[in-house]
Amino acid sequence: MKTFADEFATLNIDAMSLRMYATTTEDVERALLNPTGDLTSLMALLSPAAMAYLEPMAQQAAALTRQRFGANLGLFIPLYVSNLCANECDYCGFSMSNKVKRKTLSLDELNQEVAIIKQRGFDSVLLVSGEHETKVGPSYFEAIMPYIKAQFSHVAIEIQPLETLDYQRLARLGVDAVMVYQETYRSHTYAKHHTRGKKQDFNYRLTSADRIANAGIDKIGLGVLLGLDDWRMDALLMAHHLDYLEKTYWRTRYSISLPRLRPCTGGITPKVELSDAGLVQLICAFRLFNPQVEMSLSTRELPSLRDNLLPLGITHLSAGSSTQPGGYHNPKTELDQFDINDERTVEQVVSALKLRGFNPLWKDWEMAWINVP
Amino acid sequence: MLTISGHQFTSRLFTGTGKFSHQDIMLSAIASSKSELVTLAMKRIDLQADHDNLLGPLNSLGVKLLPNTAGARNANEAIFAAHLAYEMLGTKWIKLEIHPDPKYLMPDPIETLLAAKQLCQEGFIVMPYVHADPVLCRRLEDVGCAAVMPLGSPIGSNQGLATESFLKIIIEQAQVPVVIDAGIGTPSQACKAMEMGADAVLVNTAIATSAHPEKMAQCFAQAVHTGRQAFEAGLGKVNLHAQASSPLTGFLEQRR
Amino acid sequence: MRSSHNSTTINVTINGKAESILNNITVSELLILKEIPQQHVAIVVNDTVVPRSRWNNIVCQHNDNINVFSAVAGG
Repeated sequence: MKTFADEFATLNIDAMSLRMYATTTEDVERALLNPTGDLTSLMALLSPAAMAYLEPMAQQAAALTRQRFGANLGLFIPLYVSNLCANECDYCGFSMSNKVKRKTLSLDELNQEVAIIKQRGFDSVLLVSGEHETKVGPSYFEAIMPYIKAQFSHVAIEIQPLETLDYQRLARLGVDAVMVYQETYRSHTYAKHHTRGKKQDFNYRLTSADRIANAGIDKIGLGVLLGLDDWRMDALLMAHHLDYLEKTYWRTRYSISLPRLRPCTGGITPKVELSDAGLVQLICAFRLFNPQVEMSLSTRELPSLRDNLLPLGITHLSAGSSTQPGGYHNPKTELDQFDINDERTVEQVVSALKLRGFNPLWKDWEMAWINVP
Repeated sequence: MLTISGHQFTSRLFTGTGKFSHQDIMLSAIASSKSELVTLAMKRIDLQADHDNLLGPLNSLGVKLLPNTAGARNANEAIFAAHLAYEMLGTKWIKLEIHPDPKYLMPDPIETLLAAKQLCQEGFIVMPYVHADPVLCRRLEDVGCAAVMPLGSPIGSNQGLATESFLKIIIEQAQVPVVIDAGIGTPSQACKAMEMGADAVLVNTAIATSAHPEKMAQCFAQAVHTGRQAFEAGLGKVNLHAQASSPLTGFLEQRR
Repeated sequence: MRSSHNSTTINVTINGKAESILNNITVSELLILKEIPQQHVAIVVNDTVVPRSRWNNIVCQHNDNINVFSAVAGG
């Protein structure tokens, strides 16, 4: 079966990069006229030349976002279930060689976390774990899903890439969305940062979305870790991925994440630093390219920046996050995946949203009534 | 160049052979349209009348023939018609059209999908005539159709691109060529369809019923060519006046 | 089963019209008999399209319903 790896192999990335950096202001203005669904327009909007057009881009992006999503902003919370990991990724605090305490939540610990999250009002949860095939593999998630699904109407997972059959089983257990971030679409850079474990297989990760879609999962999340390589090109290549997926698996919904590389335990410095203005450009460019795609924003960013980014294209927001297993029940432990910059409580975030005219959405929809066997 | 199922077309104007007052006029109109794909229908022959030789002259024009399934009211009849066309003309190309409604000739989406699936499995090059329904077009693509032919407005109505918003979605999504069929009444409408990014248009009534079909065919050829060129050249830019204030990105300045 | 049927002729319907034709003639021969050019026609016998390759093998049977189709102008 054809996958994105086949399509990806046909891309001349160096030529694309040369073209992007040769973008003129005329190219940007033309792109602004007809940005939707056009990868050439997106290339112009992601180029350095488009930095001079941030305000008109922001205005169009904000109007498109409001038109499609209204004032709604979906709230979700990550639930870290394990920091066990068999990979070595130099930007990640969960890396195998990092001397941190390893933990996988037992059912009791999981229930403690769930109780706290529920009490804060969340109905949409993102289960996150390190990538350890035997200790937090598909069978772990198959075991905990019935408990999770009994508490949350929307369940997303961000775990190691799986086989289609595993995804199918998880879909039947109520997984609504799967996030698999490529981190970078540049294979050399990818190899440099992923030096041990199954994650070294670039193409297996690249074809995860094909397997998720074939398994019938409702939503797929794509993402790159901005800064590992040239973020403009990584964003453009992710858009190619998104475009391929939307055309091939048109019944599926898609979301993207735009996390910036942050310092972490044993961390690295970004190869190409992404400024706040660059992040604004990215969000706006993606919104103009795809008025329907969902975009989530994590607590990696500072509160003031997060609030300002919201109207430009963001549809989903995490709040009050802990990035360590057991961190809601016991916030003192030190097992973080990355540092959190927005440390406001959920109540504080919600009131900031309301102040800016947004409608915080706790529950997106209820799948149960259409889940007829 | 336009490619459908491996066959290349220089012209993006497809024509039909119906409604002309005389066969000679039809042939000269097709010649001046420079069309390379021409539709025709099938009928039980009249044993008493002379058989007017339609195919000889069409073949000498060098056009590719696209038999249609006009008259079929359901999937089975359309599949039968496709088999008939194959035996008659030796071509697996088929314009699939199924209209159970004799008044407006609206295409039946359900029967069309059923017939398309079967014919694609049998190796036909299926080009279905459908309403401008983006989901239906994707479903037809999924079962293996070589192109989709959504309508611009009711067939023969000359109302142009009444379905414009939906055609745009179809063009954006399609992985196979999109041929706008039915309802295109003027060269400017054909030009517009091409500017929007359609891969081709099919025009019959507007040419056939013009007072000067040959001339009108030429006008359509020019319009289609111009529209396509405009699409490829990229539409012009609008003036983006400098903003005095930056309500949405001003925070970036304040932060520096 | 009409009584007019005898050993040398059979009754068939060709394009909706009842006709009496000689027994034992093939579809190919029928086309020649009716002066129908063989190129660009399709033959349907009893609602089944007969492939061109079998026109020489198929013998018309008593009570056959035979239809001959050709291309006509159309959109």
